[in-house]
Amino acid sequence: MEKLFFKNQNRLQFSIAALGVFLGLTLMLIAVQTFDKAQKYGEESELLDDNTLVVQKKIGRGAHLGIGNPNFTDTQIEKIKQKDFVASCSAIISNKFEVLVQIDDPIIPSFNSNIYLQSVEGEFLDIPSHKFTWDTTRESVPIVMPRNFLIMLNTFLSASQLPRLSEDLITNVKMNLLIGERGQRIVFPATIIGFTNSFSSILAPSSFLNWANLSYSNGKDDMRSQLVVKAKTGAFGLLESYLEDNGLESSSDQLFIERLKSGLSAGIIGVITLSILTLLLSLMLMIQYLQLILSNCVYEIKIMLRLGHTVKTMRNVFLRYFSIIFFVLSILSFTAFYLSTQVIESKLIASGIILETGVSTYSILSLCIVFITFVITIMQTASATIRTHF
Amino acid sequence: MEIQLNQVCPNVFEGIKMNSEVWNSNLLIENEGRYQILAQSGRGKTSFLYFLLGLRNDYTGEIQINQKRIQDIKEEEWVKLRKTKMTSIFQDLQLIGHLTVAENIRLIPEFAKGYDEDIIQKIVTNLGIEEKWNEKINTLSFGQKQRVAIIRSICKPFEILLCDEPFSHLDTENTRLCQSLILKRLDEEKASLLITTLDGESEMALKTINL
Repeated sequence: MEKLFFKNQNRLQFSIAALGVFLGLTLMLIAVQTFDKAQKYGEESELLDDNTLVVQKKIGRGAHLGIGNPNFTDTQIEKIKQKDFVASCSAIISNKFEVLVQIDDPIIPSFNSNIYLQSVEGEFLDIPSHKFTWDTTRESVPIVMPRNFLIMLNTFLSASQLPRLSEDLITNVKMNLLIGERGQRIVFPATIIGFTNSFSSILAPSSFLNWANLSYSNGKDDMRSQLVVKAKTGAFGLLESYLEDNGLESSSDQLFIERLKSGLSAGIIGVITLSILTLLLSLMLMIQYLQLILSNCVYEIKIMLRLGHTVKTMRNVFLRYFSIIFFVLSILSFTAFYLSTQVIESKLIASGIILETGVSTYSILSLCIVFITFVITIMQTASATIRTHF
Repeated sequence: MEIQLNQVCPNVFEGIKMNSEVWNSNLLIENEGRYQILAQSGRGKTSFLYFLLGLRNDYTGEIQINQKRIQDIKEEEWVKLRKTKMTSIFQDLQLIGHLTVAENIRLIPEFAKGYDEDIIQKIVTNLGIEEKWNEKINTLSFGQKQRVAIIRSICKPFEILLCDEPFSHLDTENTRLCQSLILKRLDEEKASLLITTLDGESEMALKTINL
C-alpha cells in the first residue's frame, strides 16, 4: 500500500519540512537541556534560602586609607535586627588565626594555600545539623567549599597538565587544614560535604571555629565584616532597598551567579520559543505534505474503500510512514544534540564551570511530547480525510 | 443476499414521470437471483449501482440490504459488506494506472480467501492477458483493463456481483469467456448477479428489469 500512496509524490515540500523538523528538534533539545542545567547549576550548593543574603559594607577608597570601618558594630547589627522586614540577622564568624588548606592526596600534586574560614549560625544554613558539626572527638572537620575555590584549583591542575576535578571527585580527595604559625602548625583532616556560591570563604561548623578562635587566636579583634540577614517572607524587596540606601551590598558571588542564571535563562527561554516556533512551522509543513498526499491519492483511497479496506488500515499506512520519518529525524536530531552538548559542556568545564553531565530528563520528555503530538495529529488528519471518501 | 428497493428515485428524476421497474417502484433482488438492468444511457444505471453500494445517497425512498436500511448500516458493517459480501465492476473500471495487473489484483483485502494466485494466473492466461501480468495498467487497452477489472471482482468471496456494463469494450469471444467465468464463480459462491446493460446479455439467461 506504501507504493500505492507514496510513489510519484513531490519530495520538495517533504525535504523542507524534514529539514525544519530536524533543526527545530535539535534546537529545542539543546535549549531545554541548557535551561534545565542552568536552573540546576549550583542549586545543591544554595545553603541559604531565597530570603537570605550575605551582606557587607560597600568598600570605597576611604577604606583603603583607613577611613571607614568595614566591620559591623553591635549597634549596627542590632539596628538591622530591629527592622520590621528582617526575620533574623547574625554576624559571620571569621578565623582569628592563620590557616592553610593542604591537599594531601596521591592523585594530584601537593597544593596548599592560605584561606579564610567562616561560619554562620546553623539556623541560616540548609545543611543537616548532624553532618555539619564538630567536636574534639571527631576525626575530620566537615567543610563547605566555595565553588570559586574549585575553579581556582582546576586552573592550577590544568596548568600542571593534569585532568580537572569534578565536584564528586574532589569530595574524595584527602585534605587538611593547617592551623597556627609556621613551625607550630597543627593538622586537622577536613572533609568536603558540599559547595556554595553564597560564601567566598571556606565554611566550617561554628563549634569548630569558636573553639579554634579560642585555642589559636593571634590576638586580633573579631572581624565582623559580613552579616547574614534573613528577610521576612514577602519582604525581600524591602531588604534590598534598605541595603542600597545604607551603603550595604550582597556578596558579589551570590548575586553574580543569580544574575548569570537569570540572564542565561532569559536567553534560553528565547531560544526555546524560537525552536518551538520552528518546530511548529515545520510540523505544519509536514501535516500539509500529508494532506497533499491525501488529496493526490483521493482516487486510490476511494478504490481501496470500495474494495473493503477500513479507514483504520489506510490511516495506519500513513501513520507508519510518518512515524518512521519522525523517528529517523528524532535519531538524527538527538545525535546532533548529543554531540553539540558534549562540545558545549566540555567548553564550560574547561572554563571551570562544572556541570552535571548526561542528558536531561526534560529533553527526553520534550522529545516524547513532540512525538506523541505529531503522531496524534497525523492520526486525526489522516482518519478525518480518508473518512470523507468512505 | 437480498436487496429490497421501496419507491427509490434519484433526486435528479424527482417530479419526472418514468416508466421504470426500479425508480418509484418496489423491487426485490432475491438471494442467488441473476438480473440484468436494461436501459439506455441517462436512465441512471450507474447511479443505481452506486446507491446499492452505499457510495451515493442522493435519492428518495428506501433501500434495504438483508432487511436493513442502508442509512442504518454503520461504517464497519459497510467494510464487511464490501470485503466479503458485495463485489463490483465499475464502468470506469477503477483500476490504479501506475500499478501492475498483479498489484491491482493483490489490493483486494480478502484476495487469498477467493482464488489463490495460481488460479488467477490460469484465468489471466485463459483471457489472453498473461503477458500483461507484470505490466502497468496504464499500458493496457481498455478491453484488457476490462478483463483485469472482471478478474479482480471475482477473486474474493462474495454474495452479490454488481456490474456496470462490464463487457462494453470486449469482442464476442472475450465476452463469452468472461461471461462463462462469471457464471462459474456465481455457482461456486452461490451468489446473486446484477448487470446493467444497454442491449441485454442474452447468453447469460438473466431476468430482465427495465430501468
